[in-house]
Amino acid sequence: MCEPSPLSVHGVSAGYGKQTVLARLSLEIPRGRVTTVIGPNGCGKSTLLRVLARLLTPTAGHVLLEGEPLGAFRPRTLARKLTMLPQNPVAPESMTVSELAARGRQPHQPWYRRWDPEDDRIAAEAMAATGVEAYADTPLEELSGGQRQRAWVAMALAQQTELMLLDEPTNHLDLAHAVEVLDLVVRLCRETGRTIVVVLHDLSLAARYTDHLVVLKDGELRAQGPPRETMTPELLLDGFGLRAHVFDDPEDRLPTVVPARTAQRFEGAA
Amino acid sequence: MRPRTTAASTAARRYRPPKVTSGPRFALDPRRGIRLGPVALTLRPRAFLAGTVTVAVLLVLCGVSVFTGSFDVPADRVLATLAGNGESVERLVVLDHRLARVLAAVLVGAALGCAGALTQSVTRNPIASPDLLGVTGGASFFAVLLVTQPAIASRTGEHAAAELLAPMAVLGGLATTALILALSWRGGFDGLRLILVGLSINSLALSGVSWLLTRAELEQAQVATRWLTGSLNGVRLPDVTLMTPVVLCGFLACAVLARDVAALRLGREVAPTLGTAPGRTEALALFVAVVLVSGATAVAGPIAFVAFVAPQAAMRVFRTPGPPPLAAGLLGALLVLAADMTAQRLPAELPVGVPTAILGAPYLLYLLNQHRRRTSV
Repeated sequence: MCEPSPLSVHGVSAGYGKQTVLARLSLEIPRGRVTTVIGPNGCGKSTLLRVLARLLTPTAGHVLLEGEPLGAFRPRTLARKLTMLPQNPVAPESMTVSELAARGRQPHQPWYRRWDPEDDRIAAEAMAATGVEAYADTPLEELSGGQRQRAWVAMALAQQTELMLLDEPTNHLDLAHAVEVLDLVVRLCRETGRTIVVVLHDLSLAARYTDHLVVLKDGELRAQGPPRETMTPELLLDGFGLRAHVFDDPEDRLPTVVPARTAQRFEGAA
Repeated sequence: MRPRTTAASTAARRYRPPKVTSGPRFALDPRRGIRLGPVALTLRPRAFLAGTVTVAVLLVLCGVSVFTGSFDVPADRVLATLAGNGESVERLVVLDHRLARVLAAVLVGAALGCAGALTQSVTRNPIASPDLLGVTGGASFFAVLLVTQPAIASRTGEHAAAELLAPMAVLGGLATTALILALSWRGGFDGLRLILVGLSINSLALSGVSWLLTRAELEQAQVATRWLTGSLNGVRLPDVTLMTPVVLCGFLACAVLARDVAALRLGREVAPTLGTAPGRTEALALFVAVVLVSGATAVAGPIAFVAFVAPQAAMRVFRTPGPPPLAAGLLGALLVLAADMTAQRLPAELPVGVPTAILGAPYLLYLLNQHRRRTSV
């Protein structure tokens, strides 16, 4: 874990117009791990990801990618090092899974060379890794939510970037499909050594599928560290205003978050 | 296999992208693409077939147009004239009349189709064709303003007003686009705002045109109205030499921009992650579109509908995920040429703007219907 962080945030403030969302945030993303960002609604999770992907320019502070300022990279050079999947991306009508995956090769191609057998092979591998190769010629709108999400991950994967940022990849997915996507994320990290940053809503899933947990509140870093040590009832009460039990589940021995009975809250308050 | 949350046992490996080996100099994969030296492009069978058929039909129509017409010239004399050995009458008929008109139709159609695909792609909206966005409306307003100004019309003689129409239309188109962009810009480019502002400016420009026409002298109103319907009647070879570099540059720009335009179809949030700067791409694509439309309007007047229908038809015929600029250019050329041939061969000669709508609208309706059936099954 002593390797230098591939992506680090130094005193970053950012927001939209006059509204400041992130306030002097500093953070180091550990290399080759799954980092999950959690926090209550509006705490700046997505804003942080947008700053990391250079979709939003910070008003103060700076982001370093491999020790160099993020702003110094040319767009296509950056797209070969880092990619981000926004929340609920929408593909044009009748676009097929293989066409989407092939788009991931774009940062590697000059404008006059838009096809290469090698690019095809990499896109096919990405589709196989995400388990969507069976739907290669299916239009995206005919797929289920989970399959569609995995098709987008295939595109990001075909980019072959070391860093992948995923903004709520399990949004609008039922539990089975959410687990399917997160299993994939962890597998990608383990098998290829990628550094992955995920924003998640679901605290239990975040605790189970993470190496490094980052908790934001009101645009500031509330806590960070391994989930077992970080995800505590105190943190949940303080950070989220949620009274909850945290325990290792009996089968997998992984941290689990269960909300406490509402009645207890009233008893406690009284 | 179950995920382990504490990964202390799995040492973090440095990510190394697999080495990309370069392929052969020439490769043809019948399913995916073609490559020649450093240049390569994807080539789906459907697009290849559609492209070949479109070009073939286009060439046949060009041939028919050049070899036949109201004035009878034998085929061997047409060939001789094309080779540069014709008599003056033959040169007038074959080169100045037929060839210039065919080339103008192809170039104007290509420019309109291509421009429409660019604006539709950038705004991600099929309604956003230059003629509905106010570009052609603005061009028309400026042109008509010029023709109907008594001071200008009387000072520069009988035909001078008509000759000034083209440059004035180009200026008007550019000025209107700048106005629409300025009004719709709000800390960034917004396709829907652009369309709404464009529609308002368009209706303003069109009512301005009507107002000018009601106040104009009858003769000037006639010149203006003829130009406003869009026509290839007066086209000569110099118009073609003006238009050719415009269209060629436009097509080249489309080829260079194609990758970024395709990335933009995935949304303004996704495009940057693929290395495409949205603002720059949108500005460049709009600029290319406006230059193409202005050039076409200068040559033939505002021809309605082509820039709207050609990209939509191309998208369905070539089965692409968005309106393809180059393929739309091909279909636009085909549509304008076919419309002009129809217009010329009817008993009462029509301006080309009428049959483009008559041919284009039912075809698009047919394609829309086909598409609905295919997806609903």
